[in-house]
Amino acid sequence: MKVNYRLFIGLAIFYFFITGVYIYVGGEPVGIACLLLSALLAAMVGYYVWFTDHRIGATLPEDNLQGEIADAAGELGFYSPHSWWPLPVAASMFAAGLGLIIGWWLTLMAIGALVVSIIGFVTEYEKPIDEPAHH
Amino acid sequence: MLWQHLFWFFGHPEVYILALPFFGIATEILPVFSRKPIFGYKGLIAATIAISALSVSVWAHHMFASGQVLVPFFSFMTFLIGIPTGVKFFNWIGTMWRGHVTFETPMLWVMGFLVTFLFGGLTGIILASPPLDFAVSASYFVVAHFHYVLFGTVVFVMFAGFYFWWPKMTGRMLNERLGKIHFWTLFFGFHLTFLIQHWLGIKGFPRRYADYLVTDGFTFMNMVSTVGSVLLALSMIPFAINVWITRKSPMVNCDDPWGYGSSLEWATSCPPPRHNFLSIPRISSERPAFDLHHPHIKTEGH
Repeated sequence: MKVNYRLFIGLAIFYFFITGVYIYVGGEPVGIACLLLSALLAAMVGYYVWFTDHRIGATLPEDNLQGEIADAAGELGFYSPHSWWPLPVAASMFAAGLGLIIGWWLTLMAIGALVVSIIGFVTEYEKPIDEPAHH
Repeated sequence: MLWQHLFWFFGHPEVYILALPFFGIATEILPVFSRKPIFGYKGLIAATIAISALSVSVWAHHMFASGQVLVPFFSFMTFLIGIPTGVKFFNWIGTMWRGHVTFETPMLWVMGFLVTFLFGGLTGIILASPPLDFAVSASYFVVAHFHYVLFGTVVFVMFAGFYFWWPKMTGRMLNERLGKIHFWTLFFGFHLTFLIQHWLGIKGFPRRYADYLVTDGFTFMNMVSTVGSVLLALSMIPFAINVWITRKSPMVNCDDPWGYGSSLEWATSCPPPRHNFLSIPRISSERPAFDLHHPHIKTEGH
Protein backbone atom coordinates (compact mmCIF):
# COMPACT_ATOMS: atom_id res chain seq x y z
CA MET A 1 0.00 0.00 0.00
CA LYS A 2 2.89 2.37 0.73
CA VAL A 3 4.29 1.85 -2.75
CA ASN A 4 0.83 2.30 -4.27
CA TYR A 5 0.08 5.68 -2.73
CA ARG A 6 3.59 6.97 -3.34
CA LEU A 7 3.21 6.00 -7.00
CA PHE A 8 -0.15 7.77 -7.37
CA ILE A 9 0.93 10.89 -5.44
CA GLY A 10 4.03 10.98 -7.65
CA LEU A 11 1.83 10.75 -10.74
CA ALA A 12 -0.40 13.55 -9.40
CA ILE A 13 2.61 15.82 -8.83
CA PHE A 14 3.88 15.04 -12.35
CA TYR A 15 0.49 15.79 -13.94
CA PHE A 16 0.12 19.06 -11.99
CA PHE A 17 3.57 20.01 -13.23
CA ILE A 18 2.69 19.10 -16.84
CA THR A 19 -0.59 21.06 -16.55
CA GLY A 20 1.42 24.09 -15.42
CA VAL A 21 3.83 23.71 -18.31
CA TYR A 22 0.94 23.31 -20.74
CA ILE A 23 -0.77 26.48 -19.48
CA TYR A 24 2.56 28.34 -19.57
CA VAL A 25 3.32 27.45 -23.19
CA GLY A 26 -0.20 28.45 -24.22
CA GLY A 27 -2.25 25.25 -24.41
CA GLU A 28 -5.93 25.19 -25.37
CA PRO A 29 -8.79 24.62 -22.86
CA VAL A 30 -9.51 20.92 -23.64
CA GLY A 31 -5.93 19.91 -23.01
CA ILE A 32 -5.76 21.96 -19.80
CA ALA A 33 -8.97 20.32 -18.56
CA CYS A 34 -7.76 16.80 -19.48
CA LEU A 35 -4.36 17.20 -17.82
CA LEU A 36 -5.80 18.88 -14.72
CA LEU A 37 -8.42 16.15 -14.34
CA SER A 38 -5.70 13.48 -14.73
CA ALA A 39 -3.79 15.17 -11.91
CA LEU A 40 -6.89 15.30 -9.71
CA LEU A 41 -7.76 11.67 -10.49
CA ALA A 42 -4.26 10.47 -9.56
CA ALA A 43 -4.38 12.64 -6.41
CA MET A 44 -7.77 11.18 -5.45
CA VAL A 45 -6.58 7.56 -5.82
CA GLY A 46 -3.33 8.37 -3.98
CA TYR A 47 -5.18 10.12 -1.16
CA TYR A 48 -7.71 7.28 -0.83
CA VAL A 49 -4.99 4.60 -0.60
CA TRP A 50 -2.97 6.72 1.85
CA PHE A 51 -6.09 7.38 3.95
CA THR A 52 -7.06 3.68 4.01
CA ASP A 53 -3.51 2.63 4.87
CA HIS A 54 -3.44 5.02 7.83
CA ARG A 55 -6.93 4.09 9.01
CA ILE A 56 -6.10 0.35 9.05
CA GLY A 57 -3.08 1.28 11.20
CA ALA A 58 -1.39 -2.13 11.07
CA THR A 59 1.62 -2.96 8.91
CA LEU A 60 0.34 -4.91 5.92
CA PRO A 61 2.26 -8.05 4.88
CA GLU A 62 3.12 -6.53 1.49
CA ASP A 63 4.83 -3.59 3.22
CA ASN A 64 6.91 -5.88 5.44
CA LEU A 65 10.23 -6.77 3.77
CA GLN A 66 10.46 -9.94 5.89
CA GLY A 67 6.83 -10.88 5.14
CA GLU A 68 5.84 -14.37 3.95
CA ILE A 69 3.36 -15.02 1.13
CA ALA A 70 1.22 -17.00 3.58
CA ASP A 71 0.76 -13.84 5.72
CA ALA A 72 -1.31 -12.28 2.97
CA ALA A 73 -3.33 -15.42 2.14
CA GLY A 74 -7.01 -15.26 2.93
CA GLU A 75 -9.40 -18.07 3.78
CA LEU A 76 -9.74 -20.99 1.38
CA GLY A 77 -13.18 -20.41 -0.10
CA PHE A 78 -15.66 -22.98 -1.36
CA TYR A 79 -16.00 -23.07 -5.13
CA SER A 80 -18.58 -25.13 -6.96
CA PRO A 81 -16.74 -27.83 -8.94
CA HIS A 82 -19.50 -27.95 -11.56
CA SER A 83 -23.10 -26.81 -11.87
CA TRP A 84 -25.92 -27.02 -14.38
CA TRP A 85 -27.74 -24.01 -12.91
CA PRO A 86 -26.14 -21.24 -15.02
CA LEU A 87 -27.77 -22.87 -18.06
CA PRO A 88 -31.43 -22.43 -16.95
CA VAL A 89 -30.59 -18.91 -15.70
CA ALA A 90 -29.20 -17.98 -19.11
CA ALA A 91 -32.03 -19.75 -20.98
CA SER A 92 -34.76 -17.95 -19.02
CA MET A 93 -32.97 -14.61 -19.43
CA PHE A 94 -32.79 -15.33 -23.17
CA ALA A 95 -36.52 -16.14 -23.22
CA ALA A 96 -37.25 -12.92 -21.31
CA GLY A 97 -35.41 -10.93 -23.96
CA LEU A 98 -37.06 -12.87 -26.78
CA GLY A 99 -40.43 -12.01 -25.23
CA LEU A 100 -39.86 -8.35 -26.06
CA ILE A 101 -40.12 -9.36 -29.74
CA ILE A 102 -42.67 -12.20 -29.57
CA GLY A 103 -45.00 -11.05 -26.82
CA TRP A 104 -45.17 -10.02 -23.18
CA TRP A 105 -46.70 -13.35 -22.15
CA LEU A 106 -43.30 -15.02 -22.85
CA THR A 107 -41.41 -12.38 -20.86
CA LEU A 108 -43.74 -12.85 -17.88
CA MET A 109 -43.34 -16.63 -17.97
CA ALA A 110 -39.57 -16.29 -18.42
CA ILE A 111 -39.29 -13.96 -15.41
CA GLY A 112 -41.02 -16.66 -13.36
CA ALA A 113 -38.56 -19.24 -14.66
CA LEU A 114 -35.70 -16.81 -14.00
CA VAL A 115 -36.70 -16.42 -10.35
CA VAL A 116 -36.90 -20.19 -9.91
CA SER A 117 -33.53 -20.80 -11.59
CA ILE A 118 -31.80 -18.01 -9.64
CA ILE A 119 -33.10 -19.56 -6.40
CA GLY A 120 -31.83 -22.94 -7.59
CA PHE A 121 -28.43 -21.45 -8.53
CA VAL A 122 -27.97 -19.62 -5.24
CA THR A 123 -29.20 -22.39 -2.96
CA GLU A 124 -27.62 -25.37 -4.79
CA TYR A 125 -25.24 -26.13 -1.92
CA GLU A 126 -27.62 -25.09 0.88
CA LYS A 127 -28.75 -27.97 3.06
CA PRO A 128 -31.51 -28.00 5.66
CA ILE A 129 -30.01 -27.38 9.10
CA ASP A 130 -31.31 -30.59 10.69
CA GLU A 131 -30.08 -32.83 7.85
CA PRO A 132 -26.37 -33.80 7.97
CA ALA A 133 -24.46 -32.18 5.07
CA HIS A 134 -22.68 -34.52 2.69
CA HIS A 135 -20.68 -33.16 -0.23
CA MET B 1 -12.36 19.11 -32.21
CA LEU B 2 -13.61 18.39 -28.70
CA TRP B 3 -14.57 14.88 -29.81
CA GLN B 4 -11.16 14.34 -31.41
CA HIS B 5 -9.44 15.54 -28.25
CA LEU B 6 -11.46 13.26 -26.02
CA PHE B 7 -11.12 10.31 -28.38
CA TRP B 8 -7.33 10.55 -28.49
CA PHE B 9 -7.07 11.42 -24.81
CA PHE B 10 -8.60 7.97 -24.31
CA GLY B 11 -7.14 6.29 -27.40
CA HIS B 12 -3.49 7.07 -27.00
CA PRO B 13 -3.01 5.88 -23.40
CA GLU B 14 -5.02 2.83 -24.49
CA VAL B 15 -2.30 1.64 -26.89
CA TYR B 16 0.19 1.79 -24.03
CA ILE B 17 -2.21 -0.14 -21.82
CA LEU B 18 -2.35 -2.73 -24.62
CA ALA B 19 1.41 -2.85 -25.06
CA LEU B 20 2.71 -2.80 -21.47
CA PRO B 21 1.46 -6.29 -20.42
CA PHE B 22 3.11 -7.71 -23.55
CA PHE B 23 6.37 -5.92 -22.66
CA GLY B 24 6.03 -7.73 -19.34
CA ILE B 25 5.69 -11.12 -21.09
CA ALA B 26 8.79 -10.37 -23.20
CA THR B 27 10.64 -9.46 -20.00
CA GLU B 28 9.61 -12.83 -18.47
CA ILE B 29 10.72 -14.86 -21.49
CA LEU B 30 14.05 -13.21 -22.44
CA PRO B 31 16.03 -14.16 -19.28
CA VAL B 32 14.85 -17.80 -19.49
CA PHE B 33 16.31 -18.35 -22.97
CA SER B 34 19.36 -16.14 -22.40
CA ARG B 35 20.28 -17.97 -19.15
CA LYS B 36 20.84 -14.61 -17.51
CA PRO B 37 18.85 -12.52 -15.02
CA ILE B 38 17.12 -9.50 -16.54
CA PHE B 39 19.59 -6.71 -17.14
CA GLY B 40 18.80 -3.51 -15.22
CA TYR B 41 15.62 -4.65 -13.45
CA LYS B 42 15.05 -1.35 -11.65
CA GLY B 43 15.66 0.69 -14.78
CA LEU B 44 13.08 -1.45 -16.54
CA ILE B 45 10.48 -0.82 -13.82
CA ALA B 46 11.26 2.90 -13.86
CA ALA B 47 10.85 2.93 -17.66
CA THR B 48 7.44 1.24 -17.32
CA ILE B 49 6.30 3.86 -14.80
CA ALA B 50 7.66 6.66 -16.99
CA ILE B 51 5.82 5.32 -20.06
CA SER B 52 2.55 5.10 -18.09
CA ALA B 53 3.00 8.62 -16.71
CA LEU B 54 3.88 10.18 -20.06
CA SER B 55 1.21 8.26 -21.97
CA VAL B 56 -1.56 10.70 -20.99
CA SER B 57 0.33 13.77 -22.17
CA VAL B 58 1.00 12.90 -25.81
CA TRP B 59 -2.49 12.39 -27.28
CA ALA B 60 -2.66 15.42 -29.57
CA HIS B 61 0.19 14.12 -31.78
CA HIS B 62 -2.66 12.36 -33.61
CA MET B 63 -4.08 15.79 -34.40
CA PHE B 64 -1.05 17.69 -35.73
CA ALA B 65 -2.69 18.12 -39.13
CA SER B 66 -5.79 19.74 -37.58
CA GLY B 67 -3.73 22.90 -37.06
CA GLN B 68 -5.54 23.56 -33.79
CA VAL B 69 -3.22 21.92 -31.27
CA LEU B 70 -0.02 23.02 -29.62
CA VAL B 71 2.34 21.17 -31.95
CA PRO B 72 5.71 21.85 -30.19
CA PHE B 73 4.43 20.68 -26.79
CA PHE B 74 3.00 17.38 -28.02
CA SER B 75 5.93 16.76 -30.34
CA PHE B 76 8.33 17.23 -27.43
CA MET B 77 6.33 14.97 -25.12
CA THR B 78 6.17 12.30 -27.84
CA PHE B 79 9.93 12.39 -28.35
CA LEU B 80 10.24 12.20 -24.57
CA ILE B 81 8.24 8.94 -24.36
CA GLY B 82 10.72 7.42 -26.81
CA ILE B 83 13.39 7.57 -24.09
CA PRO B 84 11.90 5.06 -21.60
CA THR B 85 10.95 2.83 -24.53
CA GLY B 86 14.58 2.96 -25.65
CA VAL B 87 15.64 2.12 -22.09
CA LYS B 88 13.47 -1.00 -22.29
CA PHE B 89 15.13 -2.06 -25.54
CA PHE B 90 18.52 -1.43 -23.95
CA ASN B 91 17.58 -3.73 -21.06
CA TRP B 92 16.19 -6.47 -23.31
CA ILE B 93 19.26 -6.49 -25.52
CA GLY B 94 21.48 -6.24 -22.44
CA THR B 95 19.78 -9.38 -21.12
CA MET B 96 20.68 -11.31 -24.27
CA TRP B 97 24.15 -9.77 -24.49
CA ARG B 98 26.77 -12.50 -23.83
CA GLY B 99 24.07 -14.87 -22.63
CA HIS B 100 23.69 -18.45 -23.84
CA VAL B 101 20.82 -17.62 -26.16
CA THR B 102 18.77 -20.56 -27.46
CA PHE B 103 16.02 -20.27 -30.02
CA GLU B 104 13.04 -22.23 -28.75
CA THR B 105 9.71 -20.99 -30.11
CA PRO B 106 8.90 -18.53 -27.27
CA MET B 107 12.29 -16.84 -27.73
CA LEU B 108 11.79 -16.78 -31.51
CA TRP B 109 8.50 -14.93 -31.07
CA VAL B 110 10.06 -12.45 -28.64
CA MET B 111 12.85 -11.74 -31.12
CA GLY B 112 10.22 -11.26 -33.82
CA PHE B 113 8.60 -8.77 -31.47
CA LEU B 114 11.89 -6.92 -30.90
CA VAL B 115 12.50 -6.55 -34.64
CA THR B 116 8.94 -5.56 -35.52
CA PHE B 117 8.34 -3.24 -32.60
CA LEU B 118 11.69 -1.53 -33.07
CA PHE B 119 10.71 -0.71 -36.63
CA GLY B 120 7.34 0.59 -35.43
CA GLY B 121 9.14 2.70 -32.83
CA LEU B 122 11.45 4.20 -35.44
CA THR B 123 8.55 5.20 -37.71
CA GLY B 124 6.94 6.56 -34.52
CA ILE B 125 9.88 8.94 -34.13
CA ILE B 126 9.32 10.01 -37.75
CA LEU B 127 5.62 10.65 -37.08
CA ALA B 128 6.39 12.56 -33.87
CA SER B 129 8.31 15.08 -35.92
CA PRO B 130 5.72 17.58 -37.22
CA PRO B 131 7.35 18.42 -40.60
CA LEU B 132 7.54 14.70 -41.45
CA ASP B 133 4.09 13.98 -40.01
CA PHE B 134 2.44 16.65 -42.18
CA ALA B 135 3.80 14.88 -45.26
CA VAL B 136 2.42 11.42 -44.44
CA SER B 137 -0.54 12.23 -42.15
CA ALA B 138 -3.67 10.14 -42.88
CA SER B 139 -1.74 8.04 -45.42
CA TYR B 140 -0.87 4.35 -45.43
CA PHE B 141 2.41 5.23 -43.71
CA VAL B 142 0.40 5.69 -40.53
CA VAL B 143 -1.43 2.41 -41.10
CA ALA B 144 1.91 0.62 -41.48
CA HIS B 145 3.31 2.30 -38.34
CA PHE B 146 0.26 1.33 -36.31
CA HIS B 147 0.48 -2.32 -37.33
CA TYR B 148 4.22 -2.54 -36.65
CA VAL B 149 3.63 -1.17 -33.16
CA LEU B 150 0.54 -3.10 -32.17
CA PHE B 151 0.89 -6.33 -34.15
CA GLY B 152 4.54 -6.39 -33.07
CA THR B 153 3.58 -6.33 -29.41
CA VAL B 154 0.17 -7.92 -29.17
CA VAL B 155 0.36 -10.76 -31.71
CA PHE B 156 4.05 -11.68 -31.58
CA VAL B 157 4.27 -11.60 -27.80
CA MET B 158 0.85 -13.23 -27.37
CA PHE B 159 2.12 -16.26 -29.30
CA ALA B 160 5.39 -16.10 -27.34
CA GLY B 161 3.28 -16.37 -24.19
CA PHE B 162 1.17 -19.20 -25.62
CA TYR B 163 4.21 -21.32 -26.51
CA PHE B 164 5.97 -20.40 -23.25
CA TRP B 165 3.10 -21.09 -20.82
CA TRP B 166 1.32 -23.84 -22.78
CA PRO B 167 3.03 -26.59 -20.72
CA LYS B 168 2.16 -24.66 -17.54
CA MET B 169 -1.50 -24.42 -18.56
CA THR B 170 -2.00 -27.89 -20.05
CA GLY B 171 0.95 -29.98 -18.86
CA ARG B 172 1.89 -30.73 -22.50
CA MET B 173 4.43 -29.05 -24.79
CA LEU B 174 3.47 -27.62 -28.16
CA ASN B 175 5.40 -29.00 -31.13
CA GLU B 176 8.58 -26.97 -31.70
CA ARG B 177 8.83 -27.70 -35.43
CA LEU B 178 5.27 -26.59 -36.18
CA GLY B 179 5.83 -23.61 -33.89
CA LYS B 180 8.78 -22.54 -36.00
CA ILE B 181 6.81 -22.96 -39.23
CA HIS B 182 4.03 -20.90 -37.61
CA PHE B 183 6.49 -18.19 -36.64
CA TRP B 184 8.25 -17.86 -39.97
CA THR B 185 5.07 -17.85 -42.10
CA LEU B 186 3.52 -15.27 -39.80
CA PHE B 187 6.71 -13.19 -39.75
CA PHE B 188 7.07 -13.11 -43.54
CA GLY B 189 3.33 -12.71 -44.06
CA PHE B 190 3.25 -9.77 -41.69
CA HIS B 191 6.24 -7.94 -43.14
CA LEU B 192 5.10 -8.59 -46.71
CA THR B 193 1.72 -7.08 -45.85
CA PHE B 194 2.78 -4.02 -43.92
CA LEU B 195 6.36 -3.08 -44.87
CA ILE B 196 5.31 -2.05 -48.37
CA GLN B 197 2.53 0.12 -46.96
CA HIS B 198 5.18 2.59 -45.78
CA TRP B 199 6.11 3.22 -49.43
CA LEU B 200 2.45 3.30 -50.43
CA GLY B 201 1.92 6.05 -47.86
CA ILE B 202 4.94 8.03 -49.00
CA LYS B 203 3.67 7.82 -52.60
CA GLY B 204 0.44 9.38 -51.32
CA PHE B 205 -2.03 6.52 -50.95
CA PRO B 206 -4.54 7.81 -48.39
CA ARG B 207 -6.08 5.62 -45.72
CA ARG B 208 -9.82 4.84 -45.55
CA TYR B 209 -10.22 4.85 -49.36
CA ALA B 210 -12.04 1.84 -50.77
CA ASP B 211 -10.72 2.14 -54.33
CA TYR B 212 -8.14 3.81 -56.55
CA LEU B 213 -7.46 4.30 -60.24
CA VAL B 214 -4.98 2.25 -62.28
CA THR B 215 -3.35 5.56 -63.27
CA ASP B 216 -2.65 6.30 -59.57
CA GLY B 217 0.04 3.58 -59.70
CA PHE B 218 -0.87 1.98 -56.37
CA THR B 219 -1.96 -1.38 -57.85
CA PHE B 220 1.29 -3.36 -57.60
CA MET B 221 2.09 -2.43 -54.01
CA ASN B 222 -1.48 -3.13 -52.92
CA MET B 223 -1.27 -6.54 -54.59
CA VAL B 224 1.96 -7.38 -52.74
CA SER B 225 0.26 -6.35 -49.52
CA THR B 226 -2.76 -8.54 -50.28
CA VAL B 227 -0.58 -11.58 -51.02
CA GLY B 228 1.17 -10.98 -47.69
CA SER B 229 -2.12 -10.82 -45.85
CA VAL B 230 -3.15 -14.22 -47.30
CA LEU B 231 0.15 -15.70 -46.10
CA LEU B 232 -0.48 -14.09 -42.71
CA ALA B 233 -3.91 -15.69 -42.51
CA LEU B 234 -2.52 -19.09 -43.59
CA SER B 235 0.06 -18.94 -40.79
CA MET B 236 -2.72 -19.61 -38.29
CA ILE B 237 -3.20 -23.12 -39.74
CA PRO B 238 0.09 -24.56 -38.33
CA PHE B 239 -0.91 -23.21 -34.92
CA ALA B 240 -4.33 -24.86 -35.06
CA ILE B 241 -2.73 -28.14 -36.20
CA ASN B 242 -0.18 -27.78 -33.39
CA VAL B 243 -2.84 -27.40 -30.71
CA TRP B 244 -4.74 -30.37 -32.15
CA ILE B 245 -1.88 -32.87 -32.58
CA THR B 246 -0.29 -32.13 -29.18
CA ARG B 247 -3.56 -32.55 -27.26
CA LYS B 248 -2.54 -36.08 -26.24
CA SER B 249 1.25 -35.76 -26.28
CA PRO B 250 3.07 -36.98 -23.14
CA MET B 251 2.82 -34.90 -19.99
CA VAL B 252 5.97 -32.96 -19.09
CA ASN B 253 5.75 -34.15 -15.45
CA CYS B 254 8.08 -31.49 -14.07
CA ASP B 255 7.87 -27.96 -12.67
CA ASP B 256 9.87 -26.28 -15.40
CA PRO B 257 10.16 -27.93 -18.84
CA TRP B 258 12.26 -24.99 -20.17
CA GLY B 259 14.90 -25.61 -17.48
CA TYR B 260 15.69 -22.02 -16.55
CA GLY B 261 12.32 -20.46 -15.60
CA SER B 262 12.61 -17.57 -13.18
CA SER B 263 9.25 -16.57 -11.80
CA LEU B 264 7.18 -18.34 -9.17
CA GLU B 265 4.83 -20.23 -11.52
CA TRP B 266 7.78 -22.47 -12.54
CA ALA B 267 8.08 -23.62 -8.90
CA THR B 268 4.80 -25.54 -9.05
CA SER B 269 3.66 -28.51 -11.12
CA CYS B 270 2.40 -28.40 -14.75
CA PRO B 271 -0.57 -27.87 -14.65
CA PRO B 272 -0.70 -26.43 -11.12
CA PRO B 273 -2.70 -28.15 -8.37
CA ARG B 274 -5.81 -26.60 -6.82
CA HIS B 275 -4.87 -23.26 -5.22
CA ASN B 276 -1.63 -23.30 -7.25
CA PHE B 277 0.98 -24.43 -4.71
CA LEU B 278 1.52 -27.39 -2.43
CA SER B 279 4.37 -25.42 -0.86
CA ILE B 280 5.82 -22.03 -1.72
CA PRO B 281 9.61 -21.77 -1.99
CA ARG B 282 11.50 -19.14 -0.07
CA ILE B 283 11.82 -15.96 -2.09
CA SER B 284 15.25 -14.41 -1.74
CA SER B 285 15.71 -12.88 -5.19
CA GLU B 286 13.85 -11.84 -8.34
CA ARG B 287 14.11 -15.44 -9.59
CA PRO B 288 12.60 -17.72 -6.92
CA ALA B 289 12.00 -20.70 -9.25
CA PHE B 290 15.52 -20.45 -10.69
CA ASP B 291 17.02 -20.37 -7.18
CA LEU B 292 14.96 -23.45 -6.28
CA HIS B 293 16.06 -25.52 -9.29
CA HIS B 294 19.64 -24.26 -9.53
CA PRO B 295 20.66 -23.77 -5.87
CA HIS B 296 24.38 -23.84 -6.71
CA ILE B 297 24.08 -20.58 -8.69
CA LYS B 298 23.61 -17.57 -6.47
CA THR B 299 21.35 -14.86 -7.89
CA GLU B 300 22.17 -11.45 -6.55
CA GLY B 301 19.55 -11.01 -3.81
CA HIS B 302 17.90 -8.06 -2.12
